[in-house]
Amino acid sequence: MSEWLFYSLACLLIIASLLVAFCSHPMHSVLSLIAAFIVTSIIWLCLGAEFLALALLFIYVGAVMVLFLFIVFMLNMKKLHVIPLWVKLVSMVMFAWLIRYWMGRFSVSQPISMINEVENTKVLGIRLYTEYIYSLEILGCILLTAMVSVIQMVTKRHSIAKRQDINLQINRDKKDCITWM
Amino acid sequence: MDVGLGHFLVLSLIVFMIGFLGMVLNRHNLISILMSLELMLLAVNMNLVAIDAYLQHLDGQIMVFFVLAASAAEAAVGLAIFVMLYQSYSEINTEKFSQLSG
Repeated sequence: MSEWLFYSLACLLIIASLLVAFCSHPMHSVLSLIAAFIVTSIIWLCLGAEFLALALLFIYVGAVMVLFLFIVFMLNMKKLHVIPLWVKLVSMVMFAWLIRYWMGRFSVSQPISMINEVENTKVLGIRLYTEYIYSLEILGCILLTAMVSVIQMVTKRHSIAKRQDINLQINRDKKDCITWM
Repeated sequence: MDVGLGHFLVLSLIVFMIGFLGMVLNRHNLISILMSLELMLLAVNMNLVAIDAYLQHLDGQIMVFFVLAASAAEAAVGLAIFVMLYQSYSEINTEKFSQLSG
């Protein structure tokens, strides 16, 4: 990864993250968060993590951020808490000092070889389905639990959502539903 | 000077701190808190990927895969909770949620 590419991507990422933190409207924050995810996916692609870069694009930009956008659209956000300018400036100065303090503690000399000899996705898939198979199944259970609980939380009893009436289904008779022409 | 591991670690540190800063500054808005949380998770994942590329393992990438899926589930549950809170309080503001009823 060449130096100018890394620094331009890093600048884009930091600007997008600052916009996420400092935008007063949540819609602008969501859009800058999408930009941050896209830049991070490019960085991961340069690091050789091809599958994770595409998974980040598909899962986050494609699903989670669209979910955020819909929530921001749906909820009424008119009463905003605007951060005053001096708070932003003071926090930025303190933050820059903190970064400057920590910068000297890292030695930035270990080079990373970016070229992978083997296919990233294939190796990742093989290891996920052999060594990490139980973790993968637990992960599936977590996702299923999240899905069931979210649907149960959000759908109300008397809403327009269609529900199964088990008594009606069991007591259904064929005389009532099949008519001979 | 080529780009090394430390560059990525510092970049992820900066992004993590920005996420923390956003969480502290936007503490009145629940959606901004959740977005800053996503930013912090992104920084942690970038840390793992960079160390993984440095060590030429794949365990870090598998861990990133698990973190991605779990945080997607967490975001979905959090947003559903926000929708429920909005239905009962008609506002997303943490100052409104200062009372609990047992």
